[in-house]
Amino acid sequence: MIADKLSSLLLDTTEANYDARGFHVQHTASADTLPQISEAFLSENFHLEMITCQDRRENDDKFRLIYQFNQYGTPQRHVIHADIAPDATAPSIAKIFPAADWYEREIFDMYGVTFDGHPDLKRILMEEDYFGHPLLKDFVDPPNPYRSEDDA
Amino acid sequence: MAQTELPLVTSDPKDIEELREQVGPLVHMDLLENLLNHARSRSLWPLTFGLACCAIEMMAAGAARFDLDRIGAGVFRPSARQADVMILAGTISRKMATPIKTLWDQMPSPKWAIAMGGCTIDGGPFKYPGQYAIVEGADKIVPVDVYVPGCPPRPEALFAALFKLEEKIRAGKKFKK
Repeated sequence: MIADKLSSLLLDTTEANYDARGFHVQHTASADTLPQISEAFLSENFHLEMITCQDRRENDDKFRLIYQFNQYGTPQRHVIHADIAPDATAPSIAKIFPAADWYEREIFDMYGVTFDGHPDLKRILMEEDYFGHPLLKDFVDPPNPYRSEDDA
Repeated sequence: MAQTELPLVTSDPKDIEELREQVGPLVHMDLLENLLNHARSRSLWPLTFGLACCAIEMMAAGAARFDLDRIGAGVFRPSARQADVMILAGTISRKMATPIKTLWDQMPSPKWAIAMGGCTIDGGPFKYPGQYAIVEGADKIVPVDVYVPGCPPRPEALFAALFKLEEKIRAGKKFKK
């Protein structure tokens, strides 16, 4: 059972009301245990649904990585929150779940969070010589020729 | 017009200029140019190239029900070197701006561009103050000849744009920009 495998790894687990939240179980974990957690989910035939990130520097000076795992057998969506410090790196799970490759590149592109052990961590949505990370709360895109509001 | 005395043999640019004004061009290329423009307008070869959802409508326009081949514009060329018209069908993301510019530069003149759909006119639904993701209008990167409004435009609208472009090509230099 997945719960047994996770119990030694996860910091905090709460059951959630699926109808209200859209997932069944929520875990809070430390970022360095993410590879072990992913291994556990993989061994129980789970797949990675998505990875996303939140810029919570205004709240508690952290970036929150959010992973979702689900399986086809008995639908049970697990959401994992892992907080990291703004200057810290997170471990990549692209070697365990290949689907994580582009999600991690997207998070790197949009938030500037770097992933250790990623095979090819480069921008995915913005052009490669872009300077910033657009989804950060304090991001301001300077005037550029592609926007009408910046026309002289 | 008052005729002035001009020397029979001259190399003075002023005299040559005056001579031109009085006599007009010695060889008229207009007929040939008209014929070429007519041929060009009846065989517009678009670039095989779609950017977003408008491209689906462009494909529908090219397929059997609407059939762009009826007006000679159904030969979608896979190489920019053989294409006459670039149909910009869909949202132009910032990352795509450079490849589009490259493709446009690779197309041999004479060449034309059709901006299809709201996104290529001014950014459409993706435009907001401070946005970082898209190019607000195809005319920021290539010179656009015809704009087609719609989200996405019907295939008939694309046909109308091609007819408009044909008119423009056939008008040649008489077309005032």
